[in-house]
Amino acid sequence: MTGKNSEAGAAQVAAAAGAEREFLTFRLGEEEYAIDILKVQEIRGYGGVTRIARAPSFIKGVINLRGTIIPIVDLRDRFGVGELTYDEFTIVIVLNLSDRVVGIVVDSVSDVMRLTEDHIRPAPDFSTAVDTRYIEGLADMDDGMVIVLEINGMMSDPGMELQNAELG
Amino acid sequence: MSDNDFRAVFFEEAAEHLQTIEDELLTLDADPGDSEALNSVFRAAHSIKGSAGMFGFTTLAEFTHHLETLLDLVRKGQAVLDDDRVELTLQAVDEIRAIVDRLRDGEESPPADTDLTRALVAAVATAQRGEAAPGDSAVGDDEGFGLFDDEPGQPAQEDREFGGDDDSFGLFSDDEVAADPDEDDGFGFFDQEEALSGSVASAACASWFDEMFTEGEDHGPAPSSGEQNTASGDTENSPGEARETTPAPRSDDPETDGGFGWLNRPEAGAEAETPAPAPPSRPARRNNDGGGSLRVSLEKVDELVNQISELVITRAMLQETADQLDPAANERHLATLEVLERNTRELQESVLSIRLLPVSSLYSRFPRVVRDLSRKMGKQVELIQLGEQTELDKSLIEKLADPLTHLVRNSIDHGIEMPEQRLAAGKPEKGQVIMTAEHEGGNIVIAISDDGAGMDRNRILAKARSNGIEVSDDWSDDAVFGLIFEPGFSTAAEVTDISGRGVGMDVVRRNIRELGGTVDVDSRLGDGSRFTVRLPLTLAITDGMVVRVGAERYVLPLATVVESLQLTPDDIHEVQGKARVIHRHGDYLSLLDLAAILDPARPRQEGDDNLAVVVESEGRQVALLVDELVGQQQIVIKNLESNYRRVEGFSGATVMGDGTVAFILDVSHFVARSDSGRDAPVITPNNRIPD
Repeated sequence: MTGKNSEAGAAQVAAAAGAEREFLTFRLGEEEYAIDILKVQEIRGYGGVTRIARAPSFIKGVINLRGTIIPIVDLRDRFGVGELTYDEFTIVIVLNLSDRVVGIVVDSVSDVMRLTEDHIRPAPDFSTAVDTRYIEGLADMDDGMVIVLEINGMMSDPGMELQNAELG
Repeated sequence: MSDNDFRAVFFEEAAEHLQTIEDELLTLDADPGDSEALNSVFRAAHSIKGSAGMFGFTTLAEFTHHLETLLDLVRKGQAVLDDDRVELTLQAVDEIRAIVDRLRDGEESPPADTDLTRALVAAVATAQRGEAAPGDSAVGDDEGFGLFDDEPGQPAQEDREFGGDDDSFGLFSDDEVAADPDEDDGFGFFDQEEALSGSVASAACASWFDEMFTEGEDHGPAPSSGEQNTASGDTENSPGEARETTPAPRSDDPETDGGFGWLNRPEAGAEAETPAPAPPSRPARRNNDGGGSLRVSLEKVDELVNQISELVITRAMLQETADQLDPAANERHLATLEVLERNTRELQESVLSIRLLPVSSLYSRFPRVVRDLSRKMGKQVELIQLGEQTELDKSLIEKLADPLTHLVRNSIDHGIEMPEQRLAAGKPEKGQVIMTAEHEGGNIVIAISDDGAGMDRNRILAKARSNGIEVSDDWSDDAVFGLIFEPGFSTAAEVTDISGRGVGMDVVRRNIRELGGTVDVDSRLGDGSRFTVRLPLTLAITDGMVVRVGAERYVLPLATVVESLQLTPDDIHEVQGKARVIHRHGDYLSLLDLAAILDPARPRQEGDDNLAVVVESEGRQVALLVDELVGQQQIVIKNLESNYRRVEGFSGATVMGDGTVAFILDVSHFVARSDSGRDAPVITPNNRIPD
């Protein structure tokens, strides 16, 4: 794997070389999504979440991840898909993004897959739960299609309310 | 350790030594007879010179040498440390500091200021002409040998440098063992040297050291095997220690120690010495020098703090499971857990205290600031510093230095009047600037007050108008004085290079705000002004009171908690139908329903109004309704913003014993909330309502 350092760098290098990248795929509602596995720190069960007063409903709260306090975002709630149940089988993917660690709740984790840049094709304008701005492309899977997410951008979208609002 | 690491140590040590010189000089300025202070100054200058030579910073070493020579003459009673010489010495300290800074920035050999060098040399010459004793090193010698004459520590340290490439510092601490053949010669020479008079010895040494100096550098990367042997004999000496302690034993009297002081163990040095310096002063000095401190990066400390808090949490989790065990059957298990708890707590306290420094380390710069400025302006100012032992976080100390310096300068420049004006106003000729530091609730409060002229509200108002700021004559004093923190605001009659350019107070306020603090000013025309800086104790740990509100637990910083109250319906008064207050010690306090604020969806229940905690921030109180008092405990403050965002009403978060997160309530937010009337009150805590 080349160009671990930055996503853009990785994408470029990979594109030039037609290199393979590894992706973690997960299910949100009826759709299958893929994120760069280098952004994934760990996968854990849901639990120990402390609710934040007056936060939007998709921000479930914060957890203590070995001394670090990280927010938990329920992507099912955020995008209005799936069933909002919370038990020990609920999956949290802990993402290590460029400047922060965030946990996301998804319906289920499916697989780890390898994709070359050639496999990822630009997404046409179509209707998904996720804003198309944050879709890197689409790729074929054995039994259907997977949507490759640009997760860094998606999580720093103001709509996620994960960052301090810009002043002024 | 690489060469660069050594240099970094040198720079840090040099800064410390310079601070010592400055502090002690100011002591001497007040009490010229303080010989211990004088000796400290000398030792510090000497150490700088020695280390500078060792790193090949020749310009620094030479310049410091002149200073050292002057100090030596003073120390021997051949020169008086009068006002001019103190001034000269302070200037020299500044110059050394400047050179050190330039070296740190990578400059090769920054030249010393020639005028200052000349002044120092002249001062030395004058002093020597006075009642120069035969044994003194003449000015001519100084020029001839530069840093090497009567400087026994020098070659030792050069040696140490090339030894340093091999980490074999031991060699130079146990000097009886000769390693290098060249050094053998040197040792032999010096061993026979005891009979020689100081001046001859130093001259002879000088040439020998010159030789050694060059050879030493050439030898650099190829230390002899002998060095390694000796190194093993003395490995416990860290490089830093070796450098600091070696010059110390000899520093009393380089003259008589001649060239061999550094070669001997301290006792041997004492034997060889002339009786002039009092032997009893030695042990004390060695204590000073060998203080045994260790430099550790703040990051490492923070990491340690984090790890400890993890340990604390893990222990608490263990305790929770143990609580379910049968006490009789698991006695040993439970007893061990208790020991673990105590150990963990002690460990935690020790680790957290590493970050704390007494405010005196912040104070130390101000005597100099006050002295220089008051001289420059022809004012007489006495600086009084109180609360020196108040501890605060190291990072705060660093960030407070500049704003406080500005405030102190401001007090002297704008506050304290000229002596004649003071006399005319019936005040003592000498003005006072008082710095105090104390903990107040969860804050540290540092105040700088002066007994000067105070601020003239009419002048400030006039200035504000001319600056185009809209003001009104019936503004409160607070509001008027607050104007001085506006950008571009200065009422100094004339602009000086000290202050008056209006680029100060707004920066001060901004800096302090960035630290999450406030700065206030209070002034009485004719009586003086007082600037109060309030900062939250942004420490990693604090004591907290854990309360439950709805399903969640929250932490109130214990320092803000005044009392907790059981309420009956009779205690609660409705104001204007909605706001509620309680009557307490003659005051009415706003009553805020935390559940309604933190969990608006929760339906109100019977018993919701039973329990309140009175908290205080910035001198104002508010009562908060809670569901339950869970208990008090030490909490480790975690930043919410590193992975999430700022949340109004929370000042941070912490991890509880069961591993979950609890938010720390920002009391000042709730106090302000009670003021703004958003939630309830029209009545602020300190407004009395007539019964």
